[in-house]
Amino acid sequence: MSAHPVPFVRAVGLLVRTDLLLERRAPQLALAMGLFAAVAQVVLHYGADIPQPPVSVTVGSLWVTLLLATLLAVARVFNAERDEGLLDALVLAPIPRTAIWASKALAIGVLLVLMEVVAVPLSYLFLPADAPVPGLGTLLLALIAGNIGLAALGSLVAAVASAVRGREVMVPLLFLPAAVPLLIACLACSVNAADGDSVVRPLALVLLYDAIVGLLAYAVCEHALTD
Amino acid sequence: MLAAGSLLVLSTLLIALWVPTDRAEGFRQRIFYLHVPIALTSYVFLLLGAFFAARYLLRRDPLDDLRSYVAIHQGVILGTLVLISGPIWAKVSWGVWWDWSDKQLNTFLLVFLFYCAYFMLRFSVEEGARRERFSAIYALLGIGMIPLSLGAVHLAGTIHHPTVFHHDGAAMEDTMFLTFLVSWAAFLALAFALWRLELRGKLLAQGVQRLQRQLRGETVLP
Repeated sequence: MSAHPVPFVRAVGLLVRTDLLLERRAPQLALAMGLFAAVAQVVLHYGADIPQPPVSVTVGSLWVTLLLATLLAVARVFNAERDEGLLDALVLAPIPRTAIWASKALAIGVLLVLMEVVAVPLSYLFLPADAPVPGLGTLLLALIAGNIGLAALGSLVAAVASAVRGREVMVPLLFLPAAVPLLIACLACSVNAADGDSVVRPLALVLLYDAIVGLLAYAVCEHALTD
Repeated sequence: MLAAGSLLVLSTLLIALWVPTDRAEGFRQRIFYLHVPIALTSYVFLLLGAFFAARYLLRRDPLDDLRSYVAIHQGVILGTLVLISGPIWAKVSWGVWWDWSDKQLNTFLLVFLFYCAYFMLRFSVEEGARRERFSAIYALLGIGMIPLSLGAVHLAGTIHHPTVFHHDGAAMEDTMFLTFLVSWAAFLALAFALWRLELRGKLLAQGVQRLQRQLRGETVLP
């Protein structure tokens, strides 16, 4: 018999559905992330200002854009629960507390996919005519693996940062240093793919990041949600 | 503290008078006996901080939180020294203050920035159980960040840093290796003595605060 009347998977499904329903009714965050991704790529293009940018710059600007756009989701994802006192209700509800973290991670993951639907085609559109590009298949693989790590880390950081003073400042300060290894590995994966090199080592590191951060976040998230 | 002082004097004498001058790098290589032991000691104390953080989450003993905080504090102070001595070594050896292809220094920078955020987090939360829990969570995340940062920097850059420790042992003369070990023991002993001293200071400060509250007639939990 389960320790909680509502099993983990069902609880995660219900909570994600609630978050996505709210976002569908008032699609503020998904739109903001998509627009941010477009604006950031334009800014990075003029910031770099290189007529024939190497692949590390073109792919790098895409990954930096995704990382910064993730901050928008991380900064907002727990706010409603903290501000409206809903988190206390969720913690008291007969569901595993890890389901709260997992549902927020999934919600961030879905928002990331929606944002990438805008950001990735734009990054291909903005490329110079003869610029080397990573194959779409490899890039999608790196995006999926990268999204898992960003969502797992983002959900934990959001749970912590939403409860501290100056949360807007704390989100990037806590999230970015921890996300840099993932950014480097995802970037190496994309650049290797564009150069025709093996992507096994960088992809293995991305998956290792997902596993370590995912397991650590799963292990400690209960302490982040308990008051 | 006496043992740490004696070891520091001994290691200084060994570095200045006994250890042979490196054939390739010359006199400037002697910074190795300070830079590398300080870096390794910093890692040891950051891991110690993560260990006490994990113990805090298991036992909820506020003393473990304090031990973890003080260990990370020592680790970050030593990390600052590494980030000062590293660029000095880079400047005299390679002619630049910072080299983005140097994997050890860049790994250290990532880990250092991660742990700097620990202090921002800690002092953004009111004193009490919530601060202790959040600090422990972030410190524990650091256990994953050290190997992941190392792996990521390995992927990103070429190996430029002189690497002396390989799988089959240390690529240096016995006298150099002995001097390195003495120097590392000295910095470990010094950091441990400072950790104990800071911990005692924090506990005394907490005791004084408790007495002040009692004198004001406030209820004080044991």
